[in-house]
Amino acid sequence: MSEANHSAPEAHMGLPLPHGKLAMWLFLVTEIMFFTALIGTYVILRHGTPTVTYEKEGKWVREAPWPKPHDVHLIEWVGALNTFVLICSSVTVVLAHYSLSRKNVKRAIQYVGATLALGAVFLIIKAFEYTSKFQHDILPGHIGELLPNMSPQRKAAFHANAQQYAQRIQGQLEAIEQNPGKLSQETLKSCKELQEAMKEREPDPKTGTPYRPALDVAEVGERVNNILKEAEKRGESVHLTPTIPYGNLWASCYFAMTGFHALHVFGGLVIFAIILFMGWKGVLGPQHESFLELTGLYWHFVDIVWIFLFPLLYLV
Amino acid sequence: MADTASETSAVPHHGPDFRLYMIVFGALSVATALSFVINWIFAMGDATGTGMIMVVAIFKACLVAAIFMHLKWDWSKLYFLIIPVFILAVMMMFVLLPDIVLAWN
Repeated sequence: MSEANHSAPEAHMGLPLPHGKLAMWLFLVTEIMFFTALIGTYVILRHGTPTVTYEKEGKWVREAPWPKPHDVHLIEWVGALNTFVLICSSVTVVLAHYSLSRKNVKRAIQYVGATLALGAVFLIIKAFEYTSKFQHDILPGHIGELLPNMSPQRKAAFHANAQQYAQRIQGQLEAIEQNPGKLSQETLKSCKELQEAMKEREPDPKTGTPYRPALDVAEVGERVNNILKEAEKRGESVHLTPTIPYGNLWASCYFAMTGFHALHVFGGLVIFAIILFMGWKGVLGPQHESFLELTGLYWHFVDIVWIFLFPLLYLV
Repeated sequence: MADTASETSAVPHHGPDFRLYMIVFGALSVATALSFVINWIFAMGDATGTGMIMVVAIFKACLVAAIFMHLKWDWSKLYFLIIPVFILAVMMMFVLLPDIVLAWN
């Protein structure tokens, strides 16, 4: 090396970026692609559902049949609350890194604890939402798809789902018959009528009653929805699977997107727990600033995914 | 020896400070409430409401990415990773668009 070259800048290999940060960003962009697959598929499926034209209060209306949040028991303010919880947790993790960069280890551990707590709150609220879905039996493959006045092509396409749905409703009606619980007399009467209508009625030559076939599944769906609507007015919860057109598609998208997001949240919480454990053991120090920064990057990404999931699922 | 990208010195204009984090937190909270209110005002499926809500969501994501994820300062070192991925993400949705006709009878 000649001393005369000191004025010229030296060439360096590689990026002016720490390895950890480069690697974490590379991982995050692959995660962007992962969630793009899920969210992009949801957007395409949703906006690809054919519009239906039907008569409503004397006028012809044309609308997209994709379930509205109320149809699938999704409550917007719960989603908004979850968004706020995650935003707060993003703030606390960034303040944890800020504290650690200023060598305040104790404050950093407190902020990491707050982040862990807020993340746990998010998962608990999510658990309540999922429980509500399970109670209403809003699960992929369970929901009825056919209502009266639908096109023959749709009835043919959903034939298998219709048979499964009819069997499921029969099982649920039998369960209600055996175990009525706290259901009102009107609800039980409607369920009994539906149960009878779903069976074939054999002709009886002595009394002259004619043959009556089993109720068409589209009619079953409409009557189940009516039973559920009346019961909800009375404040009861009946365990019957509703009929929601495109409900199975909605449920698949919902559980895929929010389920994978929740798994990512849980993964982040595991790392925060490790950091807290290190703090408890007394081995956490300013040398872990980079570790905390990278964990924070992952956590902010999880927050950004939810920032997009919330309006796509709950609002629009 | 890895040089830490974050600022360990107490010079405020080299990076975000506590005040900036709190301002961003306030902006994010307001934006969340705003999108909830827009949804309240506009009916479901309305294109104007949808457009406004998605603009607010993109604004929130950009704030988190720029300030919390430090991209405002690291952009010149990371854009080569992030830009192609966003192009890919958008293109993937375009590529899937023809599948819409599968649902048409």
